Amino acid sequence: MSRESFGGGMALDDELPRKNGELLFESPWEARAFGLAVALSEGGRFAWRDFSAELAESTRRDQEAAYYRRWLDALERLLLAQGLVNKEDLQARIDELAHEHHDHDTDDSEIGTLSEIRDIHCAKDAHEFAHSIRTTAR
Amino acid sequence: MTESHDHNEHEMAISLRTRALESLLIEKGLISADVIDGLIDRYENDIGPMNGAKVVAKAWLDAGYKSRLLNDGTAAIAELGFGGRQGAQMVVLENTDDIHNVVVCTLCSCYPWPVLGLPPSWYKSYAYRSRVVKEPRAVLREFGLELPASIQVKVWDSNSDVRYMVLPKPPHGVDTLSENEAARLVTRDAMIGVETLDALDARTGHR
Repeated sequence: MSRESFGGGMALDDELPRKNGELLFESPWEARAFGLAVALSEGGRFAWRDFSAELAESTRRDQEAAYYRRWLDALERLLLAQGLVNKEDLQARIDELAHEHHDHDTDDSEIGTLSEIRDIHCAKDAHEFAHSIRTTAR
Repeated sequence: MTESHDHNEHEMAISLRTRALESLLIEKGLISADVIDGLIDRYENDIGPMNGAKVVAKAWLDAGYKSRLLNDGTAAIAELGFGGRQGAQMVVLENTDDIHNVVVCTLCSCYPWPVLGLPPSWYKSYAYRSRVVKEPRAVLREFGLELPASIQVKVWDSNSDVRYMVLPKPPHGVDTLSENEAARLVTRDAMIGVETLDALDARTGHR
């Protein structure tokens, strides 16, 4: 457990929370998952309390999983349970995006919209991707 | 297969899942990318522990505000323009000569966003969540905070209905400062309860 201090007093409005010595989000998808859940709730698509309950359920299932993994699992379960998204559509979209990414990856034209793709040094077969995603999404 | 390869593949899979969800929700008209961008920007730039620091400084210097804050945290925090749309009640816990309060959320890493922004990673860690309830003094010691046995340590477990924030004991001589100056002495960790400020000299900011 490590502690990040402000280093002797914090400046006010000119100092951003991300300057606390710690990044708010470790990868872009964490920010998107965060923004999605909060925006849907603020837009009245679900009650925050229901999301919290799912987040607690994610935690019960896997105490040690990283926060935003538990967060995304919770969001996905809630959206499926409320019928805002259906499972087949979701899987189909994941497959589509994986193929899209695969195409980008093989023709080496431009990097996909995901900035974290740059960190992947090992080109993967799209079908293998889709499979691994299916496994984690379950 | 290396660990980092596994990690990358996992990251890629989860990032695709997130994109898939977002794109379906946009297609259905349930959300717009601009709204999500705006929210992320708000939390990255406008909401953070500087909000809580203003609340704490005002409570230190204005007895009337302090009593309103301890009676009804949600309303008193809203007086300064801070509030969440998540509907949780805010409860402010006062540290005194006899009681030291610490905040955790063992279930879902709930955190008082409107006043502290998003939680630091150690707050969300399994180690903190599981240990601080069982052995608070040992955990506080790891944060460099050794409390005398005469001080009672109370651990508060947040939930979706109630979020806690600690009102730290003020540094020595804080009453000579303005609210803005006092707010600069308040740290995020003190408002979670893993740090104290009362050993500070308010005029120099040094211990």
